[in-house]
Formats: sequence, C-alpha cells, structure tokens
Amino acid sequence: MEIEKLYPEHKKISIQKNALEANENIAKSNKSKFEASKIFVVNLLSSPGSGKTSMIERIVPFLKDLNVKVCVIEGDVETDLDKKRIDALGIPSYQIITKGTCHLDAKMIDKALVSSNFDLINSDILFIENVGNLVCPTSFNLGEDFKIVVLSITEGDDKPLKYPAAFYKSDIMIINKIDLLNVLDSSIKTIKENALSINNKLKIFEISCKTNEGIKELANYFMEQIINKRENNETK
Amino acid sequence: MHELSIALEVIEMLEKNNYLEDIRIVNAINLTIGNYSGIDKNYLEFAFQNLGDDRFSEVILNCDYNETDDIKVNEIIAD
Repeated sequence: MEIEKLYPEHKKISIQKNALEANENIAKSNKSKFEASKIFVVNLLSSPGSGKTSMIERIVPFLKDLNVKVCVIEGDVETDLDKKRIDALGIPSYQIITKGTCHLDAKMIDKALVSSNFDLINSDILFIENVGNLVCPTSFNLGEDFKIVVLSITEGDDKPLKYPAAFYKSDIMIINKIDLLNVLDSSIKTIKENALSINNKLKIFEISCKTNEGIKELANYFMEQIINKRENNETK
Repeated sequence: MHELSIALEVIEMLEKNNYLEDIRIVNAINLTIGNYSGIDKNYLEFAFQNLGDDRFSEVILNCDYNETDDIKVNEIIAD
C-alpha cells in the first residue's frame, strides 16, 4: 500500500511467479534425466565440517557390499580435496568449485552431468555433496529425490532452531559424531525434539564415522530407497 | 551472497518472461517470502541495489511473509 502511494503514476505489472523459476526449470530437467536413468539422488546439506564427506567414505564400502553403484558430485568453494578422498574409494566423482558461491544450483549440476560423463544408467545412487552452509543451499533445488541434512553433535543441540530452513526442507536428518556424546553436553534427545519441532516428518539416523556405528543401517535404508525408486519407475 | 544469488534469479526470471521489456527503472517489487526461505528482506534489497544493474539500483522491496519456504514475486512497479 505504501509503495503504491509512493509511485501512484507508475506502471504496475502483475507477476505471480516463483522467484527461482529459472533454477526450478533446470532442476526439473535434471530430475527427468535422473528418472530416465532410475538413479536415486541425494542432496547433502550441512555446516562445514559436520562430516558429509566422511559419511560418504564410510557408507560406500557397505553399499559396494550390497552391489550398489555409487557416484558423487562434490561442491566446494575451493580445492578438490574432497574429490581426492572420494577417488580413493574407486568410484566416479566430479568436483564443482564454486569460487565463492555459497551453494550449488541446478545449472551447476546440469553442467557437471555433462562434464563428468557419469554412467547414470548403470549407477544406483548419486550423492551431491553441497557446499558446507546451512542457509543458502536450501533455496536451490537440484533435481534430487531427497535432501539430507547432516548435523554433528559438536555443533550444539540448538542448531535446528537457529537454521530452520535446512531442517524444514530436508527429508532426513543424520546426526553424526555420536561417539563424542560422552565428552560433550549435547543431547541427542534435544536435537531430535528441536528438529522435529521444525519438521515432524524428518526421518532420523544416528551415526559415527569414527566407529561406523549406524552406517550399515543407513546403507540398508539407501538400498531400500533405490529399490523403491526402481519399482515406482517400472510401474509408471 | 545468498541474497545476491536470489536477486540474480529474480532478474533472470523477469527477463525470460519479458516483464522487463521497455522498463527503464524498477521502483518496487512486491514479494512473498516464506519464513523458511532463509531470506532477509534488507539484504535482498541491498543485493538488488548493488548488483550493478541500473534498472534495480533504487528498488524498494515490499514483502509479505508466510509459514512456507516460498520466494514469490507478486508484482513490480516500474517506469
């Protein structure tokens, strides 16, 4: 109302559109490619240092045991250090270096799919490790099936309340570094309560990349999701 | 940085849909911003005004809020 008073004689143009329409359109195109290849795609969100790369390192051997073929897109502001860690696992990987941009967007994934030459049709799961940041990556869909937020207990049990968007938009929360529970004041119960107060549909896993606790269960869950996606695609 | 990306996305959306044809300056944008969108109105306004596009250098944002993760452009007021 105030603005209309300020500019009474100016042209008013009705828009009524999603501000991120351009990104959404590319994300839909990415999703179509993933659907055609029947590959399950996960967008990993977290603060820097919560253990996204470590989680991938730990889960890949379990997934290999289940004959699951994995590929990984790494997103970082600088360096290919994470890609080198993934390469050591003997699986296909591609590094996106954003040079300052604080998130991955759908266009970057589209380019990565072209440049990486991933064999999507013969792969089962693609992990997209987003830039470590709990704010910006939440706004940009990439075409993924699930957003997963990784939270380490060292970050404090109030993290979901401080960064609600990441928890609101995620399908799964992985609580990492639970091996440190006995030396920290963080409470898993409080983390869960806080996260569920933002999003009561969150599925929650507790893991330790140090001891491998909970990793096998997580691998089995991903296997279920891969099978579900294949079955759903076949019935379409 | 986040808001700068959003501002660029908005301009791309407006241009792709030809809303900026014959527009010299955008005076105001009416938006709906979800409380779970992670967007700060003041930073977003600053981003528009400083991203180097003269059409948006004096733009004012007017925002409604809701309990979603939406970032929706409802209307622009322009010359």
